[in-house]
Amino acid sequence: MSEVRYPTTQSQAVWGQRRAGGTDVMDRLRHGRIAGALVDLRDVAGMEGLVVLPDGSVEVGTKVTLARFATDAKVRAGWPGLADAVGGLATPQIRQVATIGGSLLQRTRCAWFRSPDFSCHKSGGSGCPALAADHHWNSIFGAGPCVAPHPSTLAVALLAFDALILADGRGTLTVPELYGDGQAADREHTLTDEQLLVGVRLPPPLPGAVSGWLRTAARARAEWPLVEAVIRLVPGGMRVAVGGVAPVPMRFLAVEAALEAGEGVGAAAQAVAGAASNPGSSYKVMLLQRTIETLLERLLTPQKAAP
Amino acid sequence: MPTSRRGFLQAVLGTSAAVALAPDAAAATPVATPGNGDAPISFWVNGEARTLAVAGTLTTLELVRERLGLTGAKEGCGHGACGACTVLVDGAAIVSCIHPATSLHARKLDTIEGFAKGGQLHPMQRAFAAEDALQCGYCTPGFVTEAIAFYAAWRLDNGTKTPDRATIAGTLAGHLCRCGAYDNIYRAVAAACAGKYDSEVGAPPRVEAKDKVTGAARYTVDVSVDGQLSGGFVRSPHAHARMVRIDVGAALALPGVRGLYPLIEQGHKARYVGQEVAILAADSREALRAGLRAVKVEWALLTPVPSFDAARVAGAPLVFEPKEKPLSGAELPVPAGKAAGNLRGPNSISVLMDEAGADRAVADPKNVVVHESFRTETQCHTSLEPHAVLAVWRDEGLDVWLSTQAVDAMADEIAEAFDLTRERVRLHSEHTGGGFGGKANFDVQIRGCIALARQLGRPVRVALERHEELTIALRAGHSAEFHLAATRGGEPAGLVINGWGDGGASVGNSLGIFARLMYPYSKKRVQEWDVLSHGPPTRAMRGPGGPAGHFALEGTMDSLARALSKEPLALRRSWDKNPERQRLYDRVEALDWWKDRPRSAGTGRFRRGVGLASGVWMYFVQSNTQVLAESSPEGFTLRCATQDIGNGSRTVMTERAAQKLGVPREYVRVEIGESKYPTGPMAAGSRSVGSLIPAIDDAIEQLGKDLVRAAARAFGLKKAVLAAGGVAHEGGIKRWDELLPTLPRFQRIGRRLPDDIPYFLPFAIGGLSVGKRLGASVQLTEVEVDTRLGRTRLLRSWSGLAVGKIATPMLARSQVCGGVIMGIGAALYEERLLDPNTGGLVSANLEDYRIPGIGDMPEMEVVFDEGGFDNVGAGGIGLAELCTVPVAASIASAVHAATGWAPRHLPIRPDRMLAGVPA
Repeated sequence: MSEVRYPTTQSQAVWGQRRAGGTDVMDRLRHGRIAGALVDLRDVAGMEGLVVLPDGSVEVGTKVTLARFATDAKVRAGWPGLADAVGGLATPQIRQVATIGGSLLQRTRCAWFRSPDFSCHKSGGSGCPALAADHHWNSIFGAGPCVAPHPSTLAVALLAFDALILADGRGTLTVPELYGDGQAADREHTLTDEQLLVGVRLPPPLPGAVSGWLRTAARARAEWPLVEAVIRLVPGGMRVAVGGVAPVPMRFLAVEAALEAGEGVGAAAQAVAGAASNPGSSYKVMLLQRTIETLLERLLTPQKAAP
Repeated sequence: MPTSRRGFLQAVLGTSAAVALAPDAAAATPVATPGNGDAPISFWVNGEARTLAVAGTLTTLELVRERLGLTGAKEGCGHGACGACTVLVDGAAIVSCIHPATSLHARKLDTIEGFAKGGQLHPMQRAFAAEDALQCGYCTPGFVTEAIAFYAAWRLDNGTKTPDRATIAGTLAGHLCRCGAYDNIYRAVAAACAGKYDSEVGAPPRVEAKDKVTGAARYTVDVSVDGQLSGGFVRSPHAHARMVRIDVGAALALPGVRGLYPLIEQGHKARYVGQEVAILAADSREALRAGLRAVKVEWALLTPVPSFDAARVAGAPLVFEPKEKPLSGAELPVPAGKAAGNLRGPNSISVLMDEAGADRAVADPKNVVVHESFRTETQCHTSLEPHAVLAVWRDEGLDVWLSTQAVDAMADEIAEAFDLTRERVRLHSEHTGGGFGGKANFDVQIRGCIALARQLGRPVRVALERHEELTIALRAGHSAEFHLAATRGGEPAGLVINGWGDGGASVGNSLGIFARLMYPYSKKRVQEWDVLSHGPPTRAMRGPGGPAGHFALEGTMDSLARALSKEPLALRRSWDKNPERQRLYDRVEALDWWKDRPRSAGTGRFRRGVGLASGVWMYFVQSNTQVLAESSPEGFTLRCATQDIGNGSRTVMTERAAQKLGVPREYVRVEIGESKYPTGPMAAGSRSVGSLIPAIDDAIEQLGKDLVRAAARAFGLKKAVLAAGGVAHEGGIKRWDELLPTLPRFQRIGRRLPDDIPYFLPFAIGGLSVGKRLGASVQLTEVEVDTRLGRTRLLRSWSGLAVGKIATPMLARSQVCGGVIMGIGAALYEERLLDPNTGGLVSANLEDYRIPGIGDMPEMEVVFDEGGFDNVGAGGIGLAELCTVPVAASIASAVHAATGWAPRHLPIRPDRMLAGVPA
């Protein structure tokens, strides 16, 4: 049985698997995917704020729940694409409990990792059974030794809004800095055991920006994405961030450049350059372009009903 | 090879060193729940303040169920996907199975047990009960709890405005119901929010509804007895390996680990990942998990063929030698055919059907012939209550609590396996949280649990975890080729079917029989093979072989209609000899959305189409069914060793007796779920209603005679006869409420007498008779395909069923909707995935094995044609399987109509759609 500690200060909340809402940790604990001590953040003071700073940016503590974040009136008004994404991910019960920090640092949702029948790089073993098997869910960009795409919808949304990550012991990071290149075999992010993610900062909303989120999956709700995109449209600040296609949340700079150049929906075609797929995952290349296209179409013609 | 644990060690290890490995007696003393590191938490539960010390790893669900004894919240998946464990924390719905109990500190916890105040149900509970928004009831506390939180917020913001479907779907997106009660759940939530249930309403349509909406209904997983141990399985990590030895010394040395019973003998093979090697018992689940990790099994690895495709390659390793017997038969009771490599077969059901003529017809250039190939994937039953057993040996016999759909049959099996008289086995199953065919077998976990309980002299309880459930409870996938010939004039000319069942290490998979039951043109060759591979054995699931069989048959019919330039309905009308289905076709023709459907495939991004599939199912009667009827001063009681798995048997029995006696339902008590009662039907083969009703009628007729005689004697009644409400006589009617308190108790056992028409076979097989009648159905669905993103959304569903008289219309409708929803899963989402290299289970949880959610539902209409079945005992036959078998076929047909692309591989995943339909 794992020991659980309940520190009261941030500086004590290190050296172990951190637990806030517990929605990922408790699942992995039960299925033998966690060894060693747990550090529960329940009694740690702070990290629960959602504060607008004088410049219009917002700081959100790591313990803020996704439900609170997504329904906050300031967040909804300033970063609607982000609020949509966070308000639509997982299920209502999960969003009530899961936190900013947990959502960003959750472990992979790869079916092989979550099944007790396998061992892999990320579960303390070696190798990637998914690579040798069905490629349906695999990354189509920059797959490392682990081929699973990054699981965090929140991270995709934060990437689309140039959010910064605040980490004790590490300072202020961009989203790409938090996740690195996705090539580490055994972990999904770059924070070390003595570093603590304490919150995120959203830069002030850009005037005139429109933004949205689109997830493509088979079922209507409560399903991990095949591909999902968060897009912000504003001249000089076009952002196209996508999940489900790479081991890290990924920006599509060529699509952004095409949008800046005024290309409109057709810019989506720029997304697929460099995609590496095989027969099992080639549909994802098509779906990537079409997901971006569909969301662009919606954002560029806002009067049209959303699909 | 049951032995004591020390004896077991010696037997397996065979050396004196083994004895040294065995723990001494002191190590085996009970260990209390670990106190070190437990944190005190103070919280309110249902308004009452509590302080408890809890471990940091304890979940809120464990706290609620095991420490507080509140068993309303259920474990369904164990990882937060199904919502059965939902409770409120500070008024917000959360999934308690992955919520740390220590997070409850200084918070308010509300559970399903706390919502009814002063005997008054919460309006949402009333709504769920009154709208029949539940079936087995296992997921119900979770749904109701979430809906209550929603109701509070909605009423505050919106008053009694009615929430729309999208809002309700969003709210309940974190809940799964496998029975498929979603349609009525929409209704219930909308009506409660609109204020329709703010005050008390009449009795609900389902007799046990109140227990299910309050969390009071007890399922096997809710039962506990003093001193019970937690049992769990050591499973094979290999798809193909020979067990060399098992070393349990380290496991038995752990605190709280009590003993082990082997399930594979040394030197024998494991043939799939997850095969049960041994069962282990420990004081707590935590100790059990540690114990399971500590058991060391040495295997000699053999080359596996973990997939259907690999097994068919020439020279593939053999899963079974020709003389070995494959594992249990699965979908239909066909014997294992001749061995050829990993194939067994062919089994043919086309003897005497001019097989050579069929071959000639499909090769004849004068005919119009279509050739189609189909593939379906393995589907999991996914009952939300897992397989669960609690075994308690006592001096007077064996008590077994079992989550089962076959109370009577399981008691027989247990008695035989443990060499007990049937009376010494007392099987209890008050409520069963879904079965769908998965809980009708005498599974190894039942046998192992009982054997280990006997060996240890302690009660042992087993409840499978979700990944185990998804490992063992399956129906086979199929691959098939259909060749169908018609004359140029559209007359049937011949049909050739070659089918291959993908049943892992089991045989008995068949999809061809439906081609014999519908469209009975005479020239047919139907040949089927089982393909053995190193995957878990499959078993019967709701409508065995039916979804795949209908998908293939009806898809082929659609293709032929196109080839003949005929309307799909017109072709069926001209070939179909079944008068019931012809009446349903009349109704389809009158439907506006059938008449007005788009006749050609669409062209834009979103394309709509309407699909049609005909359905057939067989009629089974458990002809040894008996029902005991008793009269007493309090009213009438029926007893039968049957069960209610959400199919409504309790309500059907109550309703039938109440009608026969002319009394309100409150006068009738139904006691089922106990093996000590007279033999009852298992809930399988759609047999419950057709078996029970005639036996109830017979019991009540006999009881009525006793009562009439006694009443006549006691009150001097002249020309006394049984009548609605009491005993009629010359001077009027003597009502039951006057009569019963004065008369002695009477008991009569009614039998299920044969139907007026003979059965298909003159004898019953294992108490089961095959009737000559067939259930008939037609399923229509309308889909909207998003060709750009590969999604299929269902807009409308229309189910027409002709099964004769419907015993309880509201419950029957609920069951049909559930069958439709299960078909939606098969058509669009459900696909058990084994790793093609190792045979391990990839879709090991309810995020990776995806059953339909409430947001995936179409508008549903259900129509019953009640004529034509007067010659069967109940005036009607069952519908539980008939309603689900044509659904996937109908959806595939609708996608075909919408896009011009015919799906031939289920489920119709987005990637398959994208490959098939150019945007």
